[in-house]
Amino acid sequence: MKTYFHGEVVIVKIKELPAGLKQIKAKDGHYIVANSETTGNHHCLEDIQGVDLYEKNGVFFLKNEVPVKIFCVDEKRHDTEILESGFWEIDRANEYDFLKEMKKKVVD
Amino acid sequence: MIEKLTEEQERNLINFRDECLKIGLSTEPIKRNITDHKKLLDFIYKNYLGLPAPAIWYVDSPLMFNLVMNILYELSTRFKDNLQSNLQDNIQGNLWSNLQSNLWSNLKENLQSNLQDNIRSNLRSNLKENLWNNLRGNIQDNLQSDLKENLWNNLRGNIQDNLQSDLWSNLQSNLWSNLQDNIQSNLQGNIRSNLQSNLWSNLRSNLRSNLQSNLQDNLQDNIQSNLKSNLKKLKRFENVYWGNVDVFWQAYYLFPMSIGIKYKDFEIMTLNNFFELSKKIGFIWYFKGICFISDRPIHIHRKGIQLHHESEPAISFKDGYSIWCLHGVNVPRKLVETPKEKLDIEFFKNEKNADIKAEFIRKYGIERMVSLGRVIETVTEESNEWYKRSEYQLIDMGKIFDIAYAPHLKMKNLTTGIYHLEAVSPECQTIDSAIKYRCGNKNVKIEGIK
Repeated sequence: MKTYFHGEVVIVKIKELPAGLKQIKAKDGHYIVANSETTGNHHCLEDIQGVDLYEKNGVFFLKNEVPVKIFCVDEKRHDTEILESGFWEIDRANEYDFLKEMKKKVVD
Repeated sequence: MIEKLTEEQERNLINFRDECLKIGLSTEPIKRNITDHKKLLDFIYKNYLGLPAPAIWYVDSPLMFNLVMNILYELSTRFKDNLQSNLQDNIQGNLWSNLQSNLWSNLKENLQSNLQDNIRSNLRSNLKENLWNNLRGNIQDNLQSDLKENLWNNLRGNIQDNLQSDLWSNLQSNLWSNLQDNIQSNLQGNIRSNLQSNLWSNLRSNLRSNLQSNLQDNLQDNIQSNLKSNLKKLKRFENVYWGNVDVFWQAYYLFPMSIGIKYKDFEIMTLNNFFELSKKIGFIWYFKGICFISDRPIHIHRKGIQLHHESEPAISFKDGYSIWCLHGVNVPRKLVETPKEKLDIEFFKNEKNADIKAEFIRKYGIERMVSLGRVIETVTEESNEWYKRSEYQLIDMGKIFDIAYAPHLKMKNLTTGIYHLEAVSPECQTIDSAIKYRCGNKNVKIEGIK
């Protein structure tokens, strides 16, 4: 499965969208796909025609009929990536907490 | 249609950008001139919020604003139904003693015992003096005549309704779209993109994205959650911090005026009004009947555009409120103030945030970190191109956790060049399995890492 990392964000190409999705509205010209607690440097998708973002159980699903940029508010922390048209699953990477002995999502 | 900036206009553009940057990063104390500020605010309230002129309440820092707001909210919650009569009856003569006896004794213990290090160390000794003097000064000197009309009658409703989002949407529909049309029809595309990158983007990332976001997050973490968890009825106040740091959008629309783009008189008046306000204040919070204005920080330290200082707060205010940042990342004070040779690996083990952990590694030293573990696998010439670029290594850090095996994936951020060391499941024995774990156990093929 074709996959990109944008910081802690994992973007996996999928064949089709799953059922039961809730559509997300963009704000100020972009979608936030992972927010940053420490720098305000959120990972964002540009809101352009032909791009729709959905969510299910905290995971985002993207349908883009045109190439779309995933970028950081401050591009000095992560370069911009361009996602070819298709269907994508967008989630945060997993990490393991050895103190609690459990899986969790990476946060920054 | 203007197709090209002259050399002089190019120079002016850079000078204007620098002037705006100085406004946004100013550490000069503001002049608490009510008449001056009121004139500018009355215009905004009347034209963009459709509300009567507000009272003005000055605070030393965003922290003080939060404390005052939380106390006002607590006050309104505790007194509820009899708030109006209780306060109005006593407003001239007994307000102070009423507030003090009913509120301070209840809040003092909570505030003093529950604020985190940041606040405790800076403010505890001065809390009463700073906070209470501020409440007293503003209530007695500035607000008495307006209290009945503007604040106390509707206290709970008013302080819950932050008007900044209303202001933003009104500006969007009434000002920015008109100005943008004007700019688009009169400026060639390359000039527009020049202005956008020099003014909007540059100033925004210098001011808003970095400075404002750090303040916002720090306050939310350190104050609101503490107060909220300990004083159950308190509300979490979402703050946007409009003020001098928002000079970026004003600059973008103001500069075209200087090269001959015509706006309507009202639009010019509005832009000038906001620009003047930005020059005179720090942060600002708009509410029905009342507007809070904070002073500017007394220190702002940066490295490039990022908030950064290796031994002191990156931002500090005159009431002692400070935040500590390394390379733009809001970090605990002890990470900044502890010399690298004295840093304790326990900090890394207990920290939950990937960016803060990466700043710990940067200070502690990646080689020193790796030396605490055991390398399980390193990329080879045959490895995936992106694995090689990211310098992936699987390292067992079991020793620092006192367990047999604790695999961590070492990786380099290809944009910043800093290293991360992120834990993966004890089942991971190879770099491939660690990547698969990070990706939700999907069989992935990495085709790009940014």
